[in-house]
Amino acid sequence: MKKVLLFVVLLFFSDRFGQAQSLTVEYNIGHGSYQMSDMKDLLKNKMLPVTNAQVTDHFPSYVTQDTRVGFEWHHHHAGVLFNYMNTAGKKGITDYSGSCNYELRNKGYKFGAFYRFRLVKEEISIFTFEPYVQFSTGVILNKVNEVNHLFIESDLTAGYRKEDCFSGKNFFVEPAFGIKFGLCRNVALNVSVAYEWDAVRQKHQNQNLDSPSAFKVDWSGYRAQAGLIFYLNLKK
Amino acid sequence: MNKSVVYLFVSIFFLFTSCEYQIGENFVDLGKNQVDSILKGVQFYGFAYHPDEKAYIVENSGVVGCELYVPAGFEVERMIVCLGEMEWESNGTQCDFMLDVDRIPNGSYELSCEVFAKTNNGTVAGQVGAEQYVEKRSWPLKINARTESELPLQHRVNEEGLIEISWEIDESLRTRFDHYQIEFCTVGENINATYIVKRSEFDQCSYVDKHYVGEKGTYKVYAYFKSEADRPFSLGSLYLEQAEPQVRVEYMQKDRVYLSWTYPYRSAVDVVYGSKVVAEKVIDGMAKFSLAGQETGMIELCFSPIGDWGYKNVNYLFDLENYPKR
Repeated sequence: MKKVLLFVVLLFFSDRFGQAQSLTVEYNIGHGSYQMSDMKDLLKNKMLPVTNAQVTDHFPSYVTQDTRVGFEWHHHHAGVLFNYMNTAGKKGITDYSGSCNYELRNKGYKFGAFYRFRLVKEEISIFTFEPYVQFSTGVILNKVNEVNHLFIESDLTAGYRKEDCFSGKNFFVEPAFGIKFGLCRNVALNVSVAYEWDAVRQKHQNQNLDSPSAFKVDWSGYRAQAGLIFYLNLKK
Repeated sequence: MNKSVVYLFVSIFFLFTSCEYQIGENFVDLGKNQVDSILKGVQFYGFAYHPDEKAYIVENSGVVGCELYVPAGFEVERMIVCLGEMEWESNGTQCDFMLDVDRIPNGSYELSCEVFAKTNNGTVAGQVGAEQYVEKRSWPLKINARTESELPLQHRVNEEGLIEISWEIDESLRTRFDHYQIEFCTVGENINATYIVKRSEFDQCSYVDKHYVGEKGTYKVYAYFKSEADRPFSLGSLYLEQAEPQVRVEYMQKDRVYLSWTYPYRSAVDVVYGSKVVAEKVIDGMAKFSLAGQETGMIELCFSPIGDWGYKNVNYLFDLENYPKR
């Protein structure tokens, strides 16, 4: 079944390739917020051997990086995307005698496809103004690193460091609205805002199957990004 | 490929790898307690420190309390008190235990107190039990328990008017014998006092007390031995009530009074009338004084040992009104 679907996708893109006017390579950098409700609860309820630990990082919004390769023809623009997101949470305390910390570092690698529909193309002086709507979908490969660390300055044997790794997959959809500003024939500036929704969130498993985790990583949230699109014209 | 495009993708690659979220730190600035000693003081209740012996002396069984005083910022987790092979433990600054002298032979021991403390300002090491301050102090302690008995002591008033007490001792103890300890304990309204006399002659089984003038109290005699492990034992005790004089009052002319008395013990007497000493250091049992200018009818006879002037042991108070004029 998977092979059939892959064949159909390749057939579609090869057909589009035949009709495409430009090959595009795009890089965007932006800022995203993340729901992470299960992870925030996990951090808040984590019991540590010290009573005065505070949460210092609560999976805040952070920088996202996005690359896309696609084909543009007429009003349409489609292709594949790769996106990287990361954030972290931490609860602990440090003083002169040592430190006790619990950290969760989340990384999300998005692989998917996008489709843009250009609404209008206006020429303003030497620039072009192209607003569009966009839809992206795909899978997010999640990786969560858990570190439980106790360090005592005067007695190194009393401390410990336990690391664990969790992995899982999410399925996302991301509607967006953006504007392309054509700077010249081969380069355009891209600005967009979007909302990512993780429709399917897999329950994460750590590598120790004896004690599986019970949380889901939810990357849902607003996205805002800007970047450059490079055009390689295919037709003279 | 165009060099610019290559540089662009290399830059993007570095951006990917370096744009990691930087985790913060919850650093709490707690001042580190710097002290030379975690024990400001140790107080024992139930036995006393004798400076002349430079040791704690325990003579009887009883409950003993040990209380610690630590500087501010420290908290005692555990304390261990050791005496010989015995050990008592407590989680806190106080440790109460029963000291049974029948379970410990007489002798010299080391009394020690070991303290395990931590800071109480909430440090990470303190909370996980990895920050511990340990200090141990020790003092010499002597167990001088004695065996009591119900034997009575013999006593009489000798020809000199002095009390003489006597006792008996088994001849078999001669080789082990070290000294007799004669104790007299007075029980007054406001004070309890004990004085101790030692005699090292085994055959001298009597004692004449020149200081006794009839006060209420108890004599006890103990036999002590050369070996510390040999427990001293009582040779007897004697309880005496306060002696009372036989007083006779004769009135003379011009409001003068002639006072005479008999008393079982040799003593020097101060006669006090109306808070004024009307006769001082009387040893022959008679005094004359004037009643003029005094409202009160109370007379006080203060008996003291001859030779110990100013040390009044027995006071006898009576009302002159009870003695009609003759």
